[in-house]
Order: sequence, then structure tokens, then C-alpha cells
Amino acid sequence: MKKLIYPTILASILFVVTGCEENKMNVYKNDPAIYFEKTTYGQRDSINHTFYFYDESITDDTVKVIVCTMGEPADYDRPIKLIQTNTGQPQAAIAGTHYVPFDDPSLKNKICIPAGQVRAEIPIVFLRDNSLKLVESRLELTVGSNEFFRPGIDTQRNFLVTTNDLISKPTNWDTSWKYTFGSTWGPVKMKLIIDSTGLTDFSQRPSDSSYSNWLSATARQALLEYNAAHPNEPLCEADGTPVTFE
Amino acid sequence: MKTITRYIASVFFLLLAYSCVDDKGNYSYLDPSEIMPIQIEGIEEEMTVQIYNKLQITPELKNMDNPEKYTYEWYVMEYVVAGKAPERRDISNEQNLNYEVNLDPGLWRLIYKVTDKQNNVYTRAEVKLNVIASPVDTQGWYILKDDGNETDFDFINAEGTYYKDVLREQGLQLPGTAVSMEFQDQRYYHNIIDEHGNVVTLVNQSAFHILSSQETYTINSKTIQLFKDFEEQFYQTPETCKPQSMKHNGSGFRFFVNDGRVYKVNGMSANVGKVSPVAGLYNLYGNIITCGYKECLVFDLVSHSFKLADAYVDELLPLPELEQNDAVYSFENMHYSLVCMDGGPYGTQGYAVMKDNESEGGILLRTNNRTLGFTSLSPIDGNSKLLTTDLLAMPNVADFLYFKHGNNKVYSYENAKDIAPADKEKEILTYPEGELITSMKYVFRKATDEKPGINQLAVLTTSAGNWKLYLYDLLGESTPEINSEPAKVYEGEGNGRFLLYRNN
Repeated sequence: MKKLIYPTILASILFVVTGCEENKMNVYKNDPAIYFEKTTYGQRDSINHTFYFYDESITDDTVKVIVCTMGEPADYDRPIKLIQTNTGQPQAAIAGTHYVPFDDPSLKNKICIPAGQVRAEIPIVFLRDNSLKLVESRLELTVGSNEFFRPGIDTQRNFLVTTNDLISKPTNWDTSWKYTFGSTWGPVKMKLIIDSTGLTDFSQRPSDSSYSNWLSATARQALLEYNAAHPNEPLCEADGTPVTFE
Repeated sequence: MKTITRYIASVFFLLLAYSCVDDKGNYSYLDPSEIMPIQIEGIEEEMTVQIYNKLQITPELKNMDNPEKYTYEWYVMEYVVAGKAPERRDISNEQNLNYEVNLDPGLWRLIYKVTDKQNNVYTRAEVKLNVIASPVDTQGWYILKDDGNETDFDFINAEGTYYKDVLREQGLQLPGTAVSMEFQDQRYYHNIIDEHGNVVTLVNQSAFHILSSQETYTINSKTIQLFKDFEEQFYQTPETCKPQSMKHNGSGFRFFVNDGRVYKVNGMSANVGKVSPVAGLYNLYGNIITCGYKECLVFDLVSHSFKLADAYVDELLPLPELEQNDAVYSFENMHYSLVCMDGGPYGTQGYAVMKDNESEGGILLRTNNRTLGFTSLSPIDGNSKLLTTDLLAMPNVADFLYFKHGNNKVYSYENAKDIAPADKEKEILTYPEGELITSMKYVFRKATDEKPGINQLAVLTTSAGNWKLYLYDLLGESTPEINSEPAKVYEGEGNGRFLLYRNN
């Protein structure tokens, strides 16, 4: 028994002695990083832009891409580095033709995290080039390193922005608008929706359920009336698929 | 050391052994009536009071030994709140309440609490308090009327007090002649702009929907102030303003028929009280019957078909077929014309009278309102006067109805199979020539300890620019027979067109 008691007492004394030692905490070391915001109901990993709904006199339009920082805020503006990663590839957006270059004097001061902020909306200014009436233009972006930031969260370093002058499928169609207009989508159906309801902003589905129902019923009514006026020639997409709201 | 160890072990063993002894406890249970003998009685479960009027309640405190021994609290809390917890507002610390009501119109919980000062034990009673800004926001009869140019309504409360030209008092008469009126007791939504310029949605409001030949007003029932006019009912105003009927189900699912088109509101989702259309190539009969949970039954005059309008769906739906006596009946492309259809309040029943286009006779379709579609189909004899009516009234449950024949006669019609066709219908009321029957309603309320029951047929007539309301007692709940001597008769000025009874 004695053999057990003495080691126990010794161990207890040791614990007491070490317990008095000051605990040294790890100190945070600022290492600013930058990444693209990604949320469930806000910005995802891409933005689809179209000039289709705008008057012909509109020659440029701005899309805002949200970036976030890691690390402490600073009391001065911190420029960020955006790099196009698909240059030279098919459908790649061309700086100066499809979008205003990031180093353009009009933008240079806006591609930054403002003083005191940890999040910013970075303007991407698209130019309405005639080629957009034929084919979509893609701007694949990544965040690069500079003296202020390193690239942040691995999975949120890349972002896609597209533009065109065609009817395009809204980014949130499959997560949002399908509950109003059905899951099927096509340019002819989209044009019917736009022409019958006048709706051109598809960035967010309305929170007023009755207004959402109005949009749905109005578009459905337009389809019913078209098909009734064109017996045996129902409204179809270019590939012959009949337009439905299913 | 061995001795110390043995002592410690012995103590542990003793504790262990003692812990197994059954604990008898040292509680002494008392009868609740010994701790709090007071019982609160003499307070009604529901009360209606007009704002700024005195609310006086003298509760009966049974077993009161010494009033000084207790504290008394009267306080109110909102009955329904959205996005926050109800707030308590103390209104009195007296044993009896004598309070000038200074609360927003709406439903409140009025709580009375009696607490023993010594032991802090209390007993409480609760009242559902309906605070109204207008005396017409309560139980009673609403008589929708017009003078040929403008629509208004009169009101007779449960005590028989008559309020004339309620809308005129507020400058809210509708242009055109009176069509119909609906009371929605809850789940009406409306947007207002507050003093800071923010859009605020008023939730769970109660409202009157009033239809005239040229306008539709939705009016706050608490204040008799306008929520929406015809244009504001829609996201896109229809080209033609021809309001025909407005009805709602229990949970705020509302249907509005204008110019043969049906519009709806899903009261269970966020909305602002505006209606959205139901798509389809149809032209509806003006009246509808609410059924199911969120549906209404409509008749399309184009396809001669009954359809369902569903508050969740943006197109009309086909009506389920009826299986009856080994036969299956479809309600699509029927070889019948609709003579008349109407239903009671949500949760009761409705009927459709149809005339055969190919032969004499017709059919009577019945729905019990909780079922999607019709629950029975019965033949109507070719000689039946029911086939020429334009006005029905039906009880909540029993299978019979009342109908108008000509301008001034009321008939009953029993729908039981074992009654010979000639015996099914009976003339039960005849009014003087020139007195036109314009509306009929059946009203039922079960008797409670506090309120007597009601089992009446109400008939509204109009002649020479004046209306008369006759209330007849029925002789039973499952028979159409009535005491033809009216229990009450009210009369007023204006062409009475539509009758609404409000039971809450």
C-alpha cells in the first residue's frame, strides 16, 4: 500500500506546482486573405448577365461581384488582384471588347477593399459588343496574391461571370423560379414570360406569394391563349419541344 | 495506515448500505383548495367592447374569506402577435374591473389574477376580449342595400340595435347597386406606409369585402376604414369591373369572381391581400361554393363543366368524378345547364341545381364543403319549381334546402330519396305582391350556458325602396318546417339585396 501512496502524493505535488505556471496563449498573427463570397440565398459561384432586357441605347452595364477578406480590417484602402483565367479560350471575354479592363483608370480605385471594411462589391463593367447577340461571353476569374492579400478559402477562389445579348436562363431558375414557372426552361418560354408579365429582373423571386402566383397565372394564360389561337401549332422551342409550365 | 484505510472503508460501506434504505420522504400533500380556496366565476369567456367605453366586470370570488388577504391584477396581452412575444399591459389592481378601454381595436387576452399575499399562490381567469372601434364589428345581421346609385349597409346587432347607413357615416358608399358581402374574420393582409415612409404589412386583419355592380371595397372591420378598392385588389386591374362574388375558407384562402374570372389569395403564405388570377379559357357562373381546405367549386359556362379553383394552383383543376350506386358521374362537358348554385359558410354545405338540356327534369348536386367535389347527385322532377329558381338557402348539415319561386314565394325542398317527387317541395312562405325576395340565409348556433341557440331562416325582401328582414324559427334541426309567424321582423330604407349573418 505504501508503495502506492508515495507515488500518488508525489504526482499530486507535481500537478500543484505545474498548475501555478502561467499559461501562454497563442497570439493571432494577421495574414490577410481574400476570397469570393458564397451564400445559400445570395451570391453563389457565378453570375449570368444579359443585355437582352435593356434598350438598344444602353451600351454598358455593371455586375457586382462580392469579395470577402480574412484577417483584420485596415484603416486604408487595400487593392485586390483579379485575374482572368480563361484568356484565349473559346467564348472567353476579351478585355476592352466585352468588359472594361480591371486596370482601367475608371475602375482601378474601385477594385479594392475600402478602409475599415472586410467585404466589398467589385464592379465588373460589361460592354455591349455585337458578338454578344450570337454567343455568350465568359469571364472566369480568380483572386491573385499582392502585397495586401493572399488567396483565401480554397473552394472560393474562382468565380464565373457571363454576359450575352440573348435570352438566358436565370442563375436561380432551378433553385427559385421553377416554383413559379415550372422546371422546364427555354428561350421561347422565357420570352413568353417576359412579354406577358413585363418581368425583366429575375435576380430574386418575390416574397409576396400572390404576386408570384400572378406572374405564373399570367404567363400560363398567355400560353393557353396562344395555343388556342394556333390550333395544331402549339408554342414550341426551336427544337420542337412544346412550351409548358411543368 | 492500515487502520486509517479500514476506517475509511467502513465509512464508505456504511454510506453505501444506508443509501439502500427506502426514503420515506418528508412531504405533506395538501388539497389545492386549502392553499388557494378562491374560485373565480361570473366572467364570460368572450366579450366585445367598443374602444373608449367602460369595461366593468365584477367577478364572483367563491370561498372568499378575507379580501385583504389577496392581491388582484387585471392585465391584457395581444391575442395574436407576429415576430415578437405578447406584451403584458396592466390595467387595474382592483378586485372588480372598471376600465375605460384604451386598446387598439383587435383581439386581446384579458387576464384576471388573484394571488394570496402570504404564499404567492394564485388563481386566474381569462377572457377573449374583442376591442372594436365601430359598434358594427360584432355579431349580427348585415343588410347590403342600395338606393339605385350607391351601395351601403345597415347592421342589426344581437340585441336588436339597428345601425343605419354604416358606410355613409364614413363617406364610403360604393358606386353602383349592391351585389354581395363577405366577412373575413382573420388572415387578411394589407400594406400601409408608416410615418417614416416604410412599407408595413398589417397581418391577421379582419375585413368586410363589399361588392357592388361597379366597385369592390375591402374595409377594415374594426375601424370601418378602406383597405382596398377594386383597382387595388389586383396586381393588374381587369379591363371590366363586374364583381360577382367573394368567399373565403377558414384559413384566409379567398376567392373573388369578377366578370367570369376567378382570382385567389393563399392566406397561408406571405401576401399583401391582393388577388392573383387563375389561368384558363373559361367564363364562370358568378357564384361559387367553398369546399375542401383551400379550394372552391366553380362552374364554367363555356365547357359546361364544374372545376376546382385551388388557392395553391394557378390553373383550374378538374373536379373528381362521383361514384354513386355503382354509377360514375363526370362533371366535364355536362348536358345540363346550371340553374343556380350556392353554399353556406365555410364548413357547411352547398347545392347546385341543374336543368337537363336534352329532356325534362334536372339534377341536384350536393357538396358537404369538406369534400373536393360533389357528394351526391339526385334527380329533380321535370315539374319541380326548383328548376326555375335563382336563390337558394340551405342548412349546415341536413339534406334539404329553401328556394325562391317567382318573386315572392319561398319553398322548401327535401332531397331524401324515399319522398315522392310531388311531396319533396312545399310552399312555406308567401309575401304580398310587389315585395321581392332578394336574399335568404339559414342561421344556426348551438345553445351554450351563456347564449341561447339559433335555428332560423332569414328572408330579406325589398319593395318600394325599403327592405324587410324576417326571421323564422325552424321546428327542428333536420326538418325544413318553420314557424311561419316570424320571430322577428326588421325593416329599413333602401333596396335590400344581400344578407350576411356574422356569428363571431
